Amino acid sequence: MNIRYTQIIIIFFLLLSTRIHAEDISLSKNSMRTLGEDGWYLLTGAGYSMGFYLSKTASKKSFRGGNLATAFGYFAWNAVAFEIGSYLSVNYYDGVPIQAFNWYDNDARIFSWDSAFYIGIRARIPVLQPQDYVNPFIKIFYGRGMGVYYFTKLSKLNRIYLSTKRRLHIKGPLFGISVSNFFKLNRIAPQWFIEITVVTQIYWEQYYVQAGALLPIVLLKDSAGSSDHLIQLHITLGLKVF
Amino acid sequence: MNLFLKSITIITILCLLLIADITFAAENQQIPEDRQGNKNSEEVKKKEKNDTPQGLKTRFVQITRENISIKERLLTVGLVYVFQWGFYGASQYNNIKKNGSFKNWYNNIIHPHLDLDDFDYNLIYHTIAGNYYYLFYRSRGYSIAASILWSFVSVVLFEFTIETLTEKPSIQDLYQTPILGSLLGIGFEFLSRLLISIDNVVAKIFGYILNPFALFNFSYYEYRIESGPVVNKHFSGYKISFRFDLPYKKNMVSQ
Repeated sequence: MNIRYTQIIIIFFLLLSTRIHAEDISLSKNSMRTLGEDGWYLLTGAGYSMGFYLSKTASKKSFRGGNLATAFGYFAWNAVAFEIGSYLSVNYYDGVPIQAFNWYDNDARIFSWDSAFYIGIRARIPVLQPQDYVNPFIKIFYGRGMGVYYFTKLSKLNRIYLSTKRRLHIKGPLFGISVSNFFKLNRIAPQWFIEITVVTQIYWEQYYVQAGALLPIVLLKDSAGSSDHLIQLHITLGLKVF
Repeated sequence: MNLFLKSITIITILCLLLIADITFAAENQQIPEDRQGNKNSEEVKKKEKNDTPQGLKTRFVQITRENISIKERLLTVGLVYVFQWGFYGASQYNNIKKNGSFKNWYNNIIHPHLDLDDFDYNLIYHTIAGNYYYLFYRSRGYSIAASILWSFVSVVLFEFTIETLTEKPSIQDLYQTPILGSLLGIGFEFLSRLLISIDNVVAKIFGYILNPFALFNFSYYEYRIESGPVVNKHFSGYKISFRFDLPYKKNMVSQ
């Protein structure tokens, strides 16, 4: 079965189950004190990121850094939210193998700036009764991401000309899932949340870019596609702005 | 524990400031007297009535309008759109001259992509631009959510109908300009209101630098009296006023 049909079926049952569950919640005395009032919302948070770079040549390499997460959406029917969002993370790699174009280096030091933009659905986890401290949601999303890599050290200097004005862009589609819990101490204080997210990004296109006077200048381009993956884990602590 | 101690310290300082304010207000409140030294004459009563109240604490607030007509919303977004064309033309003159064309303008519309800009453009300049979109809509009396939404509309219009002259619409800019910009705007607006509320010229200047739209006549900001000393012959005290919106006001009104 095509993966997209599977996704549609999962989303449909998720929506259905949360909608049915919402009817029970609406009767609960706790429902007004927890997240889920219909309307627009903006979430923002920051946290810790770690990830694994998987490729044919590099079996598994980890990195770590920080992330900034934002999400803007609409919560409807006391059950589901439709949202757009992003995860921006700054990561540090040391001693990682990197393969791009026909380059290969097994001991690179890189600063990366990863951006993931998505559209997704956030829904209450069914069967759990929301409380002030227990109000869990699950989110699935799909989008596009880009990693920008700044090389600061390479073992094979003849392959890549090191410059702060040159950078490697790798972009492709991404999929993700996250589980979050919203806390509410009282009606006045802003709600806050903790969220754990796993994102899988596939690197499809590669660009080696130099800063230009007007627009960036593409020095090398490879759109042939790649099986390289980046799997990221974000742990985010944030608050509901409104 | 550390946080607890800090909180207690801050609360204590605030209480001391409040007490000091009351004390100073009471001490500085001179009981007026007429030329003959009589403190209860008609002249004194008249003077008391005309005196401007001293020691008032005001708060600079944004007035959120609930019912903004569609016509006004469209006019506002249209005004922003005209400004966007002007700003883009002026700031990207060389780029438009070199890379711009009408063919680009309509071809690029259907090809949004992830751009290859560096973080200074994508994260700094666009966030600052988004901050001004947000602050402008706030100054027109829009709510926080409406300001973000209309900032988003303005950004979409810019990316799909203006910047396409030279480049394809950027997914990063479409998201980050209104969202990160609005987050910055929320912080800037809060800080600017705080600074403008302070009775100090330097603080007010910084406040207006952070939120220049608050200067204009069209803006929906105003000073609101929050608290002030009340001193008369029989009573010395401090009056604190506050207001809050009921969360289900609309329902209550309709009922």
